[in-house]
Amino acid sequence: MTRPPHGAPAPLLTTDTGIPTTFRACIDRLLSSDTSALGELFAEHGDMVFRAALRLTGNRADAEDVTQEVFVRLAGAVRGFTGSAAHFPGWLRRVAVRQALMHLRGGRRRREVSVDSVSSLTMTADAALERLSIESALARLSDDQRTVFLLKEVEGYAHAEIAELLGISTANSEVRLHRARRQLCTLLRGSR
Amino acid sequence: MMKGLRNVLHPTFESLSARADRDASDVAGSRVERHVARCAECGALVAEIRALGAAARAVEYVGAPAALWTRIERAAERAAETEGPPRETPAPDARPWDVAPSLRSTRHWPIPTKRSLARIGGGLLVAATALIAVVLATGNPRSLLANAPSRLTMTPFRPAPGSEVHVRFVLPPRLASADRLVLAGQYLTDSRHAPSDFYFGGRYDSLATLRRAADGAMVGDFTVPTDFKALSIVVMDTSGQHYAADGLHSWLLVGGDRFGRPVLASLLAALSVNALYGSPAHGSVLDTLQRYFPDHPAGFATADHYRGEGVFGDLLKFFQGAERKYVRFNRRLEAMPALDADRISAMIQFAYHIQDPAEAAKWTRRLVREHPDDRFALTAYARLVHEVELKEPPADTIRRYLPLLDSLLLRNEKADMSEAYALVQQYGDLAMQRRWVLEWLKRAGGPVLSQNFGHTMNIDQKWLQDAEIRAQAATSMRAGLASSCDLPRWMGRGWVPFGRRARYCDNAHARALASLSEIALLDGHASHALALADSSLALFTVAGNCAALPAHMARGRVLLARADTLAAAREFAAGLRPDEWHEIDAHAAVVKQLGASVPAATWASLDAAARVESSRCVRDIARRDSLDRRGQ
Repeated sequence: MTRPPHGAPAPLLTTDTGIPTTFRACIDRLLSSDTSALGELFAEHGDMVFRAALRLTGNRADAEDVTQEVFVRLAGAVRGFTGSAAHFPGWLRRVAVRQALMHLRGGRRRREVSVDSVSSLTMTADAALERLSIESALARLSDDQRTVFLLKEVEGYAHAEIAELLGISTANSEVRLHRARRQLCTLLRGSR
Repeated sequence: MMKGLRNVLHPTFESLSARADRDASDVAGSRVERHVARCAECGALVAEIRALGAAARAVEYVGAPAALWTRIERAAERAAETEGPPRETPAPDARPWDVAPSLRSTRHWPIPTKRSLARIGGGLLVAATALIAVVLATGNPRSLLANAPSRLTMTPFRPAPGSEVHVRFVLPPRLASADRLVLAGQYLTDSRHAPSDFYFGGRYDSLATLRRAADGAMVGDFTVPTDFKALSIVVMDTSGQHYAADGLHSWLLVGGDRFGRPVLASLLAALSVNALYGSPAHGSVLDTLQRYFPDHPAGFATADHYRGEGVFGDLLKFFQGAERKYVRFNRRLEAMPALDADRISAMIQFAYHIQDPAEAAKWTRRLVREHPDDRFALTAYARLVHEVELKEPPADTIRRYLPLLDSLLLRNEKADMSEAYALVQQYGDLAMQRRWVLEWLKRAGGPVLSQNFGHTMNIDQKWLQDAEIRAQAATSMRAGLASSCDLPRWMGRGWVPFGRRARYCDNAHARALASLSEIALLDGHASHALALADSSLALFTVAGNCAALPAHMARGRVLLARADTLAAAREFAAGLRPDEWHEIDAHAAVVKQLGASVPAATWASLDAAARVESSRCVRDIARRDSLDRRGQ
């Protein structure tokens, strides 16, 4: 299976012969260990899964690990999915988020990090000393605060769901979110 | 105990943050909503909080790399070879995938029958009976300990003033290899002063070094001062990372008398840290106050539960509401001819806690009448005025309250004037506004530099046209330059490497120099202003700040005053980025201000040049930092 180039619009699900196929048929082929079905799902949703993982882990290598884990185990997990094709992206995104959180919690993060990540790590304490984008300001939050902020603001989880995902109380989730916001405001104001 | 009095006029950041999450219809009519509707500053903060989320959602991340599919395909094939094809129906002993697709847990129990329901009902009845028996037997189900349960234990539990405290810290796994840690703390000496918690920039100094004991725990000793009341504590490692009771709140050590009994003044001091509200330590202090000082309202004013008295009281406390408790205190204390400021303040707080502003106003008037010198009288009265303001009366109605605010300000040099300041600036006449601005600058002094990154004077720009105010502002900024430089909260204190501290302070000083440049320009000393702006820019470079916005803006203003429009535009372009979401408006304003004298094409080339220069600066700083680290 050849992956479409970056930036290309996501294709409809197709078979290797180029004939459009239904979502359910694709899932059935996936359940029968047809790797090409996995490839089609990757072509359509791989970027979304990777971006969700990258946002939470803040590291390309970790995001690749998470994406691989999600797709390799997708055949087993998809048996629990009973929704329609329209619900599949949302379901898959939640699976990716959960897998990314497990990756973070399990201490399986990669040691090798990008140059950008290195600078953000080494310059954490000097946050006031440079112009910050929201992205680099987020990188300066603690893992706990950044995770809650992203789950709430970007992934759209409620505090009760975040609490369940992270194994913390709802109040704790709220406090982390408020503190993340306070620190982001301070960082972004101070960097100007 | 001053929660609700410290930030009485404006809602707390947490309230505004929570407000930002809700629809307007959900919060219609709430105090926060009414305030936000009238307060431009808080409205702007709510918008800023919402913009954070929008900005985070708008960040474009790259897609999955092209090579990733090959890797996944290979891994999937390997997995298929080792595990075989997935079965349509999982075997009963199959291990479920730990990435649960649904957030709801799977139902594992059978649907109950009538018989099993009867069994469950019987079981619940027995359990409830047992619970009541336990409550009656033990009397006090909650701990009376004033310290939060934690890995940190201190002996004696309630140290008397001047006594030695032994500390024992059971290490969390991440600190397993640490050979020494530092115990840092902030003494809480006054129930009327609300110090910042560690996380919010409180001044925490080293108390003791903790070293490894034979059993693996870290131990150390320190002696509390002779005027000891309470102490907020964190543990720090050598990298400056701190560890607190539950990851959110510091530990609390509350003093006692020489027999280890609780002391009211110590408990009130322990309640003075706003950030501890809602924490286990805070709950324990309230419990102790309720138990040992039941006639003092402080233990009940912010509590969520109200202890009864005796065995049956504990049982009946479930039926004791805050309002009933307030009424009891109100009836008793109102009749007393003289009351101390602590109890009156607690009643104000209690009244706000049960959301009865009229009752709060009654106690506030009593505080002002009986203790006008109290440092919280001004703040409490400002809240009273704000409650009136929320009813949207004619401005003249608000103005009738201002003379008393003026009088309270003059009575106490240490009074926190920040809340009343906003009211005066909105409703006071020009003479009063000016007097308060001057007082604000005098009282700010050093903190003008150390807070808010030191570049803001926290006054409306219009006041800088006033020569006396400029002179006072310059005096305050110079005092700030001469004072010690506080670190922002995320840097912590005590274990901050010297280089990092110096860079932060250089940055703060650079901002102060930019402010002084602005003042010098308004004083008509353009050359001096340019020299100050140049010094500011140089110091920003030393500090490694490639943005240096205040310095570029200061230089731009001087050059504009000299009619060198193009050079001014170059400075403004160097300071402001049209592609930075939080600088777009400021950049547009400058472009509009300079108008046709700087064409769009010129702006485009200036902005592009500024981007190149900024990238070069960032590279240079990174190289310098790298060399510095190797040198260390």
